[in-house]
Amino acid sequence: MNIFALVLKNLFRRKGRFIFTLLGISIGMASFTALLSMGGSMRGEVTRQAQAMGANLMIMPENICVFNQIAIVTGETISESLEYGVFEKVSVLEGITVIPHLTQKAAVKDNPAVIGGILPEETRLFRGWEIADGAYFTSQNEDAVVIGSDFANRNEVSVGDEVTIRQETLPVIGILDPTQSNDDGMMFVPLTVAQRIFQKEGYISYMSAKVDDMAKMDSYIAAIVDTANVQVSTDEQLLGSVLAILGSVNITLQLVAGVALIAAAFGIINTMMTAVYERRREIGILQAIGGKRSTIFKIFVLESGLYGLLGGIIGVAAGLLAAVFAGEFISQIGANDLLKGASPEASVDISLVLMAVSFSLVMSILSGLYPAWKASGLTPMEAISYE
Amino acid sequence: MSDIIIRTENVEKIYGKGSVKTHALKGVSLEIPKGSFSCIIGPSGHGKSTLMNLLGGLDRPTKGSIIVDGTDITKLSGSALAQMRAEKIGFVFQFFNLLANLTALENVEIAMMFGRSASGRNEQRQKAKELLQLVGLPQKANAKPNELSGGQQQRVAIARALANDTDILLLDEPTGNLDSQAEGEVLEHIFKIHKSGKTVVIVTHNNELAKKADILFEVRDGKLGGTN
Ligand SMILES: Nc1ncnc2c1ncn2[C@@H]1O[C@H](COP(=O)(O)OP(=O)(O)O)[C@@H](O)[C@H]1O
Ligand SMILES: [Mg+2]
Repeated sequence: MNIFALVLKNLFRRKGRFIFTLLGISIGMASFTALLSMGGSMRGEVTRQAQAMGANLMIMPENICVFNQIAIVTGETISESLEYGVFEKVSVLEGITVIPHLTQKAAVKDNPAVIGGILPEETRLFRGWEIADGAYFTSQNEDAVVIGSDFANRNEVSVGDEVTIRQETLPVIGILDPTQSNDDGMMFVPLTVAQRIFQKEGYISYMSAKVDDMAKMDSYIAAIVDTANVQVSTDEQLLGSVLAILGSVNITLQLVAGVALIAAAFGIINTMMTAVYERRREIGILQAIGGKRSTIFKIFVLESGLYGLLGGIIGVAAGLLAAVFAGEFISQIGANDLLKGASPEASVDISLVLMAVSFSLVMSILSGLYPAWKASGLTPMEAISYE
Repeated sequence: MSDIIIRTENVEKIYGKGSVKTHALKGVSLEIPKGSFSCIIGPSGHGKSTLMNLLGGLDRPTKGSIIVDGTDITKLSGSALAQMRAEKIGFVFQFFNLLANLTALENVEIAMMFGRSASGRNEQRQKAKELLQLVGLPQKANAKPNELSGGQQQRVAIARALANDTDILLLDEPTGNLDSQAEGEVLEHIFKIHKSGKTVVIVTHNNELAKKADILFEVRDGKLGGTN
């Protein structure tokens, strides 16, 4: 018999109370971990997608709101638009390669899809696309569709199929190689075709640009802004503002999880206080046979620490599972792959697991301090006096 | 070097503060020789348990000193007092001596956690089995307290009180709520233990037992009456 054996026996003594207290902390830790892990993979995903766009500058309508900036990074449609003439003015500037995008949403095969209107040749070169299956556009106004690899898989579309976009039926002529960017989840048509289908003749959504000399970035931006009423962001700025938004959303969610954890901590305190009260007599007996106050204190702190350790392990495991399922669910219902990063290989982050379990352990030990102090403060006589 | 193992000098105990005070002991001086068998008798509520708890270092006197094995235990710190209890005293109370969720064997082992020779697991187990054998309960080693009769529970408590080879055994009405057959069995083990050389102090209402005592203390209204 040693202290640890005694603590284990005490822990499992009231099965119902043990299970409910453990559930409290497990649920708190699970939501905390799920949010942390999803937040982490969202950050990773946004960063990866922004890099995969291969652009140095994003040229957007003036006064575009930050949510539309996120939309650009994540491959969603935006509500503002630019005139096509702005693209023509920017494209003649020295040292800048620029492509226009018209992104629109439509139901395709009963699923929401993002359709990109592009200049076929320019975009293929800019993005470095390769064709996995079929062919690529051969003219600037070909009535045809080329699709990203994920879109093809998800909607079971292959070369030779036809898809209907806003009452227009177009043949699928090619499937792109995976690019690890949002392009994988989209459909592409030539810009003029997109403008016709969506009745956006003369308009585009935004532009991406590459510059020849990164050191002259400021003068390029100045030149672009001179040509038209546009807002120009470097990819770093854009990424920064998107991550800042995601960060504040994360913090809000984590505060909610924090409240769940505080409730769980009070659950532990409550359970331990009840245990101290129930075991007064036993505390007295332990003291009578030579148990010191420090020993009594240790016994109760260890017991409450075990709640944190077990609840932490269960909660973290459940939270990671939840993050994976939630990630898959969200990427299925949404047309974008923002949360695709919450896949098992991406989210089992050992340092996150260790951090969460230690956090749970520390929290439960702190919760045990007051009850343990109460228990060790009992004098042998108080504990033994029998009423 | 005297052979007095417990000595008290003018011990007083007042419970409570303010207006509700109980003067439970009013100047008790006594000496208990090493290896003796002492009985404490007296009416209920007159201070017997109070005296026992003070002798065993479970509580502190309001006044006076208590010398156990040459040390004035009233001057010890809380943790030194706990250490003293582990190393010198074995306690048996009238009720609820055992930890309810431990088996008889574990209840005996647990005392060894606090003893002088914090022995290994197997050694503990072996010794605990021998002690249960000594009190005639080898077959109940794995029983929980609620599966034992009152007399059996008290015998487990006696086995536990012996776990650390302490010299002194303090028993506060150990047979107080047992029928006479169970009481006989428990007393038999207590005699056996005393014969092995332990100093035994027992509070009892049993006159037969009191007659066999080397020393008889009568506690009446917080004071010692006749001793022999
Ligand atoms: N913890 C306590 N707090 C206050 N009064 C107590 C306490 N313990 C005992 N007393 C009082 O002290 C007196 C002696 O009690 P006790 O020593 O238990 O007597 P006995 O064991 O002889 O029956 C009684 O009046 C009792 O009510
Ligand atoms: Mg009493």
